[in-house]
Amino acid sequence: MNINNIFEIQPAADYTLIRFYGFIDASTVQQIRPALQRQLPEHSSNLIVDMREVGFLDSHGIGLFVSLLKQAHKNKGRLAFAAAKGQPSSVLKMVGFNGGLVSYCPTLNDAYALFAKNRAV
Amino acid sequence: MQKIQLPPVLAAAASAPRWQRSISAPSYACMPVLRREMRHFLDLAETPPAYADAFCLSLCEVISNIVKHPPKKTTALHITFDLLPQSLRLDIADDSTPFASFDAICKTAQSRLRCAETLLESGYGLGCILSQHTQVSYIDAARSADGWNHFIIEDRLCSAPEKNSASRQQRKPVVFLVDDDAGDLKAHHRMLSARYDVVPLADAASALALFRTRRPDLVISDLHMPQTDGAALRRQISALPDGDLVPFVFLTASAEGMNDKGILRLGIDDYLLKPVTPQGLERVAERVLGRREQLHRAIEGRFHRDLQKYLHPHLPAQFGPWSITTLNRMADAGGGDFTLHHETREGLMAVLADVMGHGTEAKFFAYAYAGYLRSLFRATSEKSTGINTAVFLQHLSDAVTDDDFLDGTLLTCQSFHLCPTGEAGIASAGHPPPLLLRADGTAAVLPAEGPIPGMAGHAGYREYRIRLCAGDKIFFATDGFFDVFGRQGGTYDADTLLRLLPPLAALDAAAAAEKLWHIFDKYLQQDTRAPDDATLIIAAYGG
Repeated sequence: MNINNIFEIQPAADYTLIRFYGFIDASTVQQIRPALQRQLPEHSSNLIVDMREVGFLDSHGIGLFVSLLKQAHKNKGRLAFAAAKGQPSSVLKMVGFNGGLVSYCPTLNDAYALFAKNRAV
Repeated sequence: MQKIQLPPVLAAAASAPRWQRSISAPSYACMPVLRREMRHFLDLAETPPAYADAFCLSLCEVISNIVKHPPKKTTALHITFDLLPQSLRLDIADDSTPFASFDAICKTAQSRLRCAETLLESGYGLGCILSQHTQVSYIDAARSADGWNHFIIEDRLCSAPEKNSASRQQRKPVVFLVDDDAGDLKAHHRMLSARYDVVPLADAASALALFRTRRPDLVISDLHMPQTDGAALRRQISALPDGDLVPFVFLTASAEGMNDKGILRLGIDDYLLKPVTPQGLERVAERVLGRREQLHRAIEGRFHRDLQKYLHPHLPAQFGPWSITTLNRMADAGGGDFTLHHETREGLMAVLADVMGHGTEAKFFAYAYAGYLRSLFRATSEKSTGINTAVFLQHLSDAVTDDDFLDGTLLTCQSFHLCPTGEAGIASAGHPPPLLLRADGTAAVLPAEGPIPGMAGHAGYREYRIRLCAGDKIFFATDGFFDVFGRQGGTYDADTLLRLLPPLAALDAAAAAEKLWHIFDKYLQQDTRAPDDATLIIAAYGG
């Protein structure tokens, strides 16, 4: 499995975008985790997780998102999920990430605007 | 040990659509394929998508658990999905080491999922399963008839759009209706089905088999049935763990014999003479279930009161130049707050802990945790030369990492010591930071922060040290107190509290605590969340 087919990282000035593709489950997370650790810049604070292309999410995916959330916190940033739909959206709703820690944005543009706005403030 | 025959849940099971797969040496790699195949089967059967999504997720959670955790590697897996007329049923059987302490883990799994913000990176799988389905059971190899472990997930079908919220909504009480007379069974089913989730069963053997995997709220059984009669069914159910707690009502054609000693000794809740009327049947079901609920609440209330006596947070009101006031509210529904303390010549060492979760289980875990922490606290205090709050938290974190029981629930903790010289040391394990109020009215958040127990690794905890002057105060509190000051029921925001503190600077600890608690009560009235335990400790240095 080519890891580039599972996720990609796009750093920007106000945030780092992580775009996932396909399934985020036990079978993929064990490969994503070390690759993400290598590729995600250590100083990344505001993180956007692009969920548009995610078809399935399980508890291992939640664990992965918790580690992203920890990184964002460590660097005084926030984590935003963008454009989650269907089954992944239902799973995110089940999880106790509250509004103080995590943002749920209906579209990717909303997530961009969230961090741009924070910079303006 | 008694063997359990897995029940044919409903008579129609044999002819219902079924999907089955057997896998040798299962691994993570097989999961996407199995998920796709099962989804295809469910889509062909026009299963509402919300159910299909939920079962596909649960399939993956169970398999990944079986692949990941058992000490003995799984060599084979049998998966069976039955589309029954009124329900969906997934049975995943494996030949590995049984799931250890399944029931205990279930108790905290959903709380753990809802506390993902506490930043644990694993352990959400069972919470996902339990949050989605109304019936989840586990029969280990020692108890199953075929010698395999069975993870069984079942959902009663409700109207499709309701599925997403079905498991969180008020569920209907489940009634097992047992009668060999097909006409009576059908008629009584119709009478009760508007208000109850009725499971019709044609004989006592089916009822007993199903009872082992699914607990009803009430059993209504015909007394006179061929082979096993109602009285024998009652005796056999009573012999099962907690079986005698389920209320039982007999249906009988004649009152004759109902006062026999043999019947009276069975401890049934009521009986009804056939033919029954819809009103009569509903009335008895409602009364018996109401009484059971009443008893349950009374016993639970007594349990809470008994535990609260032992858990009630308290610290000495005076320690050298320090005045300390502790206020607490214990909520029946909330988790458990408690304190520990130890006095030496060097200072007062104290611990404020908050076990997360709601209901009786959280109270139980708080009680168990308090005992554990007390021993750890004593051992740490005796071993350490000098008092160090961070050392205690590190020992606690190491213990949580190594202990499955402690890892099964979540706790935040703050340890602090107050020295006669006015110095204070504070270390925190996932606990909200304390606030400082100087005598001149300046208020600030003290940066005492650290990971929750079990997540510290070897990085450890750091003690934050501060020197207080005469008239300064430190405010320690648990989530249940701080969260009430969140904006419109949202996340706690320290700014709100910091604005409220300056007027308290001139007051002593007791008066400041009383005034702040009064404000807390006002905020509490506007808060719509479930009440949680709340504890406030004000330590004022007298100089």
